[in-house]
Amino acid sequence: MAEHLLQVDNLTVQFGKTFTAVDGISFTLEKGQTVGIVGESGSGKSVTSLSIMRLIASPPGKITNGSILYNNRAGQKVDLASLNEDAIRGYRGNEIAMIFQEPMTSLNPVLTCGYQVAEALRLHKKLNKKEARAKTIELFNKVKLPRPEAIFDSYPHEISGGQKQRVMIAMAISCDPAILIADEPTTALDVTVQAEIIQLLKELQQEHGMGIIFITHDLGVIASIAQRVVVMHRGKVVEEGEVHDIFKNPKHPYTRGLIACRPTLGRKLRRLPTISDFMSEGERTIIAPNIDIQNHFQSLTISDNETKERRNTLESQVPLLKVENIRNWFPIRKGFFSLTKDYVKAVDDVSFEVYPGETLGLVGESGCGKTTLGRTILRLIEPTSGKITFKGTNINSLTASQMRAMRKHMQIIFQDPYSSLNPRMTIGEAIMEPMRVHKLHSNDKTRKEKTIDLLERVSLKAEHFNRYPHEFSGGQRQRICIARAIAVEPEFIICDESVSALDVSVQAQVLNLLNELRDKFGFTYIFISHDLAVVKFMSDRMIVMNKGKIEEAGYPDDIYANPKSDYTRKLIAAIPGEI
Amino acid sequence: MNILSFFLKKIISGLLVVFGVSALVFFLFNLLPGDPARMMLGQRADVQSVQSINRELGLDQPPLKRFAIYINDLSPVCLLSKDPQSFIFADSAKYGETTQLLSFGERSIYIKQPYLRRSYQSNRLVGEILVDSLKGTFILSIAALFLASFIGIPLGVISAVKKNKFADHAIGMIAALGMALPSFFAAVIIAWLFGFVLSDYTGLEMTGSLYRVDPFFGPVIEWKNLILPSITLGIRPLSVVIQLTRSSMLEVLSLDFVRTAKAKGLESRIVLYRHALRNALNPVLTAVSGWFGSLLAGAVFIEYVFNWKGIGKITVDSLETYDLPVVMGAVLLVSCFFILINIAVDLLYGVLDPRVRRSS
Repeated sequence: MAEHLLQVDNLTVQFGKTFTAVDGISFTLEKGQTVGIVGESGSGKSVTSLSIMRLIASPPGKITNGSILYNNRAGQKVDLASLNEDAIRGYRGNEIAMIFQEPMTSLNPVLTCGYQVAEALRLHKKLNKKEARAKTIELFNKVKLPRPEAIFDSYPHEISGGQKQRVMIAMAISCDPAILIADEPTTALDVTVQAEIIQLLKELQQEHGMGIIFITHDLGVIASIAQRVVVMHRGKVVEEGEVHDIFKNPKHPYTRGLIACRPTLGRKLRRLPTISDFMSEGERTIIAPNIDIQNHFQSLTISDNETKERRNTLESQVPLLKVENIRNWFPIRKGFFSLTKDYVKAVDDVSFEVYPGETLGLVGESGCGKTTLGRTILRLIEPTSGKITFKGTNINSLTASQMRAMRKHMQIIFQDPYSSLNPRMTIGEAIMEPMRVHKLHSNDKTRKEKTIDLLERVSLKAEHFNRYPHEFSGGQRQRICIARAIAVEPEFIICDESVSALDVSVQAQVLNLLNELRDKFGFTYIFISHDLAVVKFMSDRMIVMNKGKIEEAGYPDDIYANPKSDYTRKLIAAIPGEI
Repeated sequence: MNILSFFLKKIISGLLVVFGVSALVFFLFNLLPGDPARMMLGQRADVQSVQSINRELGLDQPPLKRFAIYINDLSPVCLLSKDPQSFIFADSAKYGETTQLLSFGERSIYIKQPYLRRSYQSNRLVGEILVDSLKGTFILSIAALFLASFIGIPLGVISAVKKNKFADHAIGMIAALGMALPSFFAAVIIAWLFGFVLSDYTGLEMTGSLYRVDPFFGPVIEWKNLILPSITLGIRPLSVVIQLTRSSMLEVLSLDFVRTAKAKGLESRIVLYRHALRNALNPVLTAVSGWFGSLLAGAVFIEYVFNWKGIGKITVDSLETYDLPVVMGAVLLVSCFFILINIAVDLLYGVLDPRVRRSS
């Protein structure tokens, strides 16, 4: 057997006495190879990567079994799992480096970017201050940061998210590591930035011959970077193999579900396949009807006629919402007495209409103004100019109390299910609160019944009523937020990046839920997202926004098949791994 | 925004606050019932003497005019007259050294030190009285906060790192005790225990000020008198600093960039002090500076128990005797301190956290 660069053998990590986060997994990594570890949150993929670096919080985390054999620079085999703290420190950042998911929070806000990279060089390579600076600037050039000299002295908050991730990469490759562990490095970034970062990692790998462990919940990203893939589920490896084979012929039902549940640009589906289509889980056993992915897709596809019919019915109605020439300019004050004014044109002269029962998709990258637009429509932010007509009423002219009454009809579901629920309120209370505010139903008893009904509608249970948000997973929390939004029986809901923080498999369930609810209650949505494939799946019509302006508007199929603007083309090209 | 205009802005808004406080102080104390002239002369004074005192102090003038003169007295740039009958006569006994800037005949614009008037009781310049007592309070507060920060921050860090272990619990106990102990009670106990019962071993006395007046050599500094009051005064800030450092450190240690620092292979000591502590210090700084301001306003109880000559003691003493100029001067001085400290803290935030420099 050839010498592996890294050989993880039967690794088991326990948290406390009872919870086994990683349960006897094995895989290998070769020099110059990229292994993808894919799985949803809680599958143990991050714990695996942190175990290799020995960075799991201990206590409560502990490696209880198995070995992590690493062939070090000196040609010796060491078991990283059994090294002491001092010895492992010599490898961290030096021979094995890591980049993390959140570039926004992974850099220390009070130290300059350059300092943080140079720190690793001074530690492991024993460079002096001047040498470390020169080397850091060289690294910044290598990771294609603009103006490396200036960025050396910049603080993290002064540069963009993509640039921060580049700084992180520069830090990781600074000591020429043999292994680079990338833990969801692109999940928080826009698609175009994601494509650039993946390209950069590939180039660096070719140059340095690093072995990369790439962790993600998105199989599409894996397809565009890795050669081998390890699929993890509940702490175990369910499938492992060459990327090509796994995509072509996935053996495990979980892998099939994971592949199928990603919305793709090429297909038009009634609902997204979910993992539960492919398998259902008991305590210990997995029941899997043998479903072929392609056949399954076939059965879910919507015909063109059906689409046409739907469009005709929708567009024959009077628009529910009319947005005319909305502008939202934020003044930036400068100078000593804050007199000089300049403007950030967050939303600049945007007009559109939404028909009852329709889903209008709004896609664009961060900073394009899509969130500002959504909030302006709800009058959470006052527009600088323009007119918003909802149900025939000009809502900009409403008084505060009239607007409060109007809010019953318009709701919003936010991006982050973690911070949009009050941690000290039971979810039952959280859902009942808007009903009370709008004086719906006669008393708390009927409200409670209604709430339990809502919980069941979003696939939660009645017994969840008295629980607190921290007891739920991200996907469940987003369902709670949805239940809260529909509690006041609105007609119009804005979903502002409502699925962006979720795993692809959970995302599929939530998207399906939104569609079911729309069909059942006749909701009208504006669906805001940075993910073109998700927007295409959801929308009847869509708008591409860029720098506050509408770049392109039309039917999703047309935009995808025949993008008119360069920006849209760039967005489509950046989507990773069409399967 | 550059640091200079940031600074200037703070100064200007600070000056506005000082003006507001002066107005408040003036009207509060001058429109209160009470008669300084009677307090000076005693209950049995005749009407004529009371009137002449009132005339001398300008208390027979309408309030707005008196306020204008008061502000003119306070302001470093002021209007003075050459006419000895005028209320704003450039009297060197009042204003000390003055520098003339512009002249309009009879009246001229001068630069001078703020004139806080004279004590009704001792007839000393209020400025002098305050400077004397301020020295005491200032040194006492600095010593107390020095103690609180330099012991409290490391203890808080230890407590956070050893979370839920013995050291954490022990430090937590100390902090809880310090929070619960009322300062007047602590002062009495500490003075009695270390200044009386154990004074043979400690060599300390129960009471005493920074300066002891020696019959032959005049005032002599007695540093050892500082020990007991500063410890007493520092107990509560110490507890607050410990608790704040602990909680803020725990929060910072769970943040992503700490993991990044560890992943770089840094020693835990460096991760702790270079990466985590600086991020954790902001709330501690806010608390310490707040304490400093309120300590300067006078640690009344402690100054009383230890007979330490300071602002707090002076203010209370002069309130008792209706010595308005001293009270007004003390309140003004303390509010100026609060403003100065706030400016200093804003600047310090900027040094500690580069994000503040931008957003403000």
